[in-house]
Amino acid sequence: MTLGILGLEHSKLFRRRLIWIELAAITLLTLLIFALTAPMARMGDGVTSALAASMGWPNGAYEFSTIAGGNSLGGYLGIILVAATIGQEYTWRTLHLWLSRGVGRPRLLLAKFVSILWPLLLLVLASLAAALVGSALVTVVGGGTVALASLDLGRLLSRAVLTAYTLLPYAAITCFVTVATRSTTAGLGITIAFSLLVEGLLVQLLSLASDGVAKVGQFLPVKLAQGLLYSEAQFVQVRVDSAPLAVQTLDPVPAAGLIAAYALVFLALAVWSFRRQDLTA
Amino acid sequence: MTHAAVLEVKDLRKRFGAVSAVDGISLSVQAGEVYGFLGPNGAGKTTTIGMVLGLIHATAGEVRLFGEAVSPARNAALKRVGSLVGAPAIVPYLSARQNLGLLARLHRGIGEARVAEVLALVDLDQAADRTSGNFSTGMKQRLGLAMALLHRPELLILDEPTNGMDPAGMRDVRTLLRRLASEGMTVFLSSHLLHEVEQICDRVAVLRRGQIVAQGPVATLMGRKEVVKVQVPSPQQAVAVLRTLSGVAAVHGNGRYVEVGGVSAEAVVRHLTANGIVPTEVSTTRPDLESLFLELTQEAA
Repeated sequence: MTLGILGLEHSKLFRRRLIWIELAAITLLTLLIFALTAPMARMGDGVTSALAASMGWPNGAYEFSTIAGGNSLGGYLGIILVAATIGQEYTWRTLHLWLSRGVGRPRLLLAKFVSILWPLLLLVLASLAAALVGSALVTVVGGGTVALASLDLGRLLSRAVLTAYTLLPYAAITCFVTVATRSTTAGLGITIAFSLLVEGLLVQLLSLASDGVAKVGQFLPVKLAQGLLYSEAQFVQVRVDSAPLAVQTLDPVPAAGLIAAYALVFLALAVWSFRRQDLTA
Repeated sequence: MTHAAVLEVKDLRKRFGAVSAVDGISLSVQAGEVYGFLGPNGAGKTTTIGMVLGLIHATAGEVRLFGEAVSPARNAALKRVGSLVGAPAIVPYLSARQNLGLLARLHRGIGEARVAEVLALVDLDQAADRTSGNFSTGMKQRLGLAMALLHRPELLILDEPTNGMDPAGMRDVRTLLRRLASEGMTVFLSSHLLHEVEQICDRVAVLRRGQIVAQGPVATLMGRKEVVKVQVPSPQQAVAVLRTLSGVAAVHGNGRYVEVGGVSAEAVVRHLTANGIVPTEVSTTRPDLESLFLELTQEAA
């Protein structure tokens, strides 16, 4: 039954037009960012050439994670996907259908969540593929050569997995809000508002406050993601040069642990809420 | 151990805040029986069915399917049940065949052949590969019926299965239900189409304001409301005599006639002759289920 419900969810998900639209969107927008950067590579002044260098081969290829990660395009697309996948089943009453066939509530919701993880990874991989092409484009336009040997493939793939991992808290929060409100719109709106207003605005406000208060910001998903993804010296350097981090970030291991904790807590809340619901016609 | 009762509901209650939607319902549906579940809108039919299907938490009481307790937290027995409650639940961007294919993943041994079979059964084989979201209400209802039948359930629970169907579709569903019943499938049917219920169901329960106001074989329920009209030489004397007959619900004189409710014509004639009154004419008026339903559900409304 567990495999059956997982297969069912997977099958439903990949027949949705939304997922293919999202994959196309993240691919095109990643390419667009590189395409807009490419002409700067020929300008030759300090700032633009430094930017172009950071976006060129091979460093630029790693930049996909800033596009595909949480609190960014990937995160927003992930939120839309989770909210639509779960919320619309309340509207269509298909949740009622699976449950009335003897599927357990926790099993159904967890199968739904697990089946969404694969599309989230695909979003990241699509952005990665586009970033590879884009960074090569920037280098070629700037007159450089694309040296395939300079690319650390293992590091690139591990970064892709970590980037997808940073999407988990957003997916879990969206899942909880959508289940609790039984609404795609609420799931989408509240989680994006959290991402934009609470994480975006709050982090900035916290940075203006005392150090002690500012430290609270490092426990938000966006900062945990930064702690996990930008811990490597090379990336810290790039980020520090371009946009200094206002709030401190945790080390990668505690950051990874807290990301998992966010995901598990909100998923548990979603299951708890789902188990208590009366699913009326 | 076998359980003759496929569905047992004991003192089932559901409150939504201050509103008591279901107020102490008890019923039992036996294997092979077609059971009608009747009541006006808001009587608590769909809430009861929701609790039977483990979709709604009961405030109190118990639901057992095939002898196994069912609740939202414990619903394994529902694998043996097929249901169609209200508007059918379909994934609108999938075709009818794909919807059935998805559902087939939840049950072992359901292949493409069975999918094709149920599509033909509900006359959707020509539209099987069209996007189901574009179906008419009646077609969606047929698909919902196909989904309910896909895994050859032992119990079929249907709530207004002919909603949105044209007369031909309704006739087809009625024929299908008769066929399923004749094949021994247990059916729990909630419908406003009382003529159909009267024709198909072995027993019915009538709900009003969350409570069962009448329950039993259709013939018995209607027999209870049968009116016996007798012509007698002395109506006043006959009225007095008939008031002493056990089971009489109502008796009144009407010119040379006396009308008696609640007992059979045979009992009336036997009682009158035993008391020295010989009827010269006897006739009975049996109400249809619709009249009975209206009478039961509008009493004290």
